[in-house]
Amino acid sequence: MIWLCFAVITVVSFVCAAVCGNLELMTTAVVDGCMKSVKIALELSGGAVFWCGVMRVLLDGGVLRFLSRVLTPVLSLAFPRAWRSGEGRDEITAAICANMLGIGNAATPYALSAMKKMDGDGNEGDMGTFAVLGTCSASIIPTTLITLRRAAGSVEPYSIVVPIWLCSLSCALIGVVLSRIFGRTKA
Amino acid sequence: MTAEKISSLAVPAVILLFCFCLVRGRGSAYESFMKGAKDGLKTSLGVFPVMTLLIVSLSMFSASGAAEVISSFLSPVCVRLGVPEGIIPLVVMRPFSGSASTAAYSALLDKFGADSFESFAASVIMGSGDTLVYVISVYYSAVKAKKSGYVFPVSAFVALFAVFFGCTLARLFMN
Repeated sequence: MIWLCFAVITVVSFVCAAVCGNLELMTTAVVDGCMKSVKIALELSGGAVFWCGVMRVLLDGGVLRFLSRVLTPVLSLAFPRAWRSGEGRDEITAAICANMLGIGNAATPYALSAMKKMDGDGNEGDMGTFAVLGTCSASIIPTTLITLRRAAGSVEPYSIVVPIWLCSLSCALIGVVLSRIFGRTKA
Repeated sequence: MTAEKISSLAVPAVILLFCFCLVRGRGSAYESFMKGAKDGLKTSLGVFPVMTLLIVSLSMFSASGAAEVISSFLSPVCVRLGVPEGIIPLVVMRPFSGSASTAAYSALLDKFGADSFESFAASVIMGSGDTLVYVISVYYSAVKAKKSGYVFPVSAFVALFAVFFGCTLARLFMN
């Protein structure tokens, strides 16, 4: 699937660049993209090494088990099979908590290990739900947005928090419900 | 103010908890850390080739001006549906690139003012979604299973819903 994604994006970009006369910019974009990917990969690896180590300690120390038990009433509805088998349950909890706390660089490695655990279990339905939920991941406090708003001279930089909660909660609900429906008919 | 404090305390609090587990578990907890850290490194190295491919293509997409072309097609429809014209480039970039959409967001704050309807709607949209192409590709690059066919359409639908609902909420909250 990823090759198709790549092909579509490339063709669309090429056509648009030709129309807008941006073909030269695309050359630099390729070079820049390669360099940027190294930067992102290094940042991700640094975060992954540290935060996966932390997660493992919290996992073996029982902290994540406790957290996922607390969140069971909500999350077991979204990920029934992971909660039944226990495969990936604690990793899902860690990823969602990290996302909500705004620790984005920890959330990605946690999400990857959650996907791996569910993959080992052949749990495609919950993997789909988890990926969809990952695309509407939201932090409780959108710090970056608030900082940018304040820098731009907003009178009430915090006024966006409640609507963001409403919007992301509805998105998460719709995403989970839809992927449960489609995931079930496929399985 | 308190909200900002809580979020800035989140990381130190997790580290403190981690430190507590390390001390309590003595040598065994340290071994857990090493094991987890090595797994983390292996996973992130494993997704690196896919990520490079993806980032190069997204970087071409941002540079090609495709966002402007797509927005110019979309704007007549969107404006009729209550999405202000000014935020359409941001809406188009949002699923593809985090850095480009953040840049578009800053530009929007400057252009329309931080407390304008456009900025408010853009904030809600930015806050309730992530770069979906990147997220899905990276998530599935770590596993053997193929992506189920519904994952992209459902996420795209949710992102689209966020755009319209975000604008509706902005309208409600600004009056």
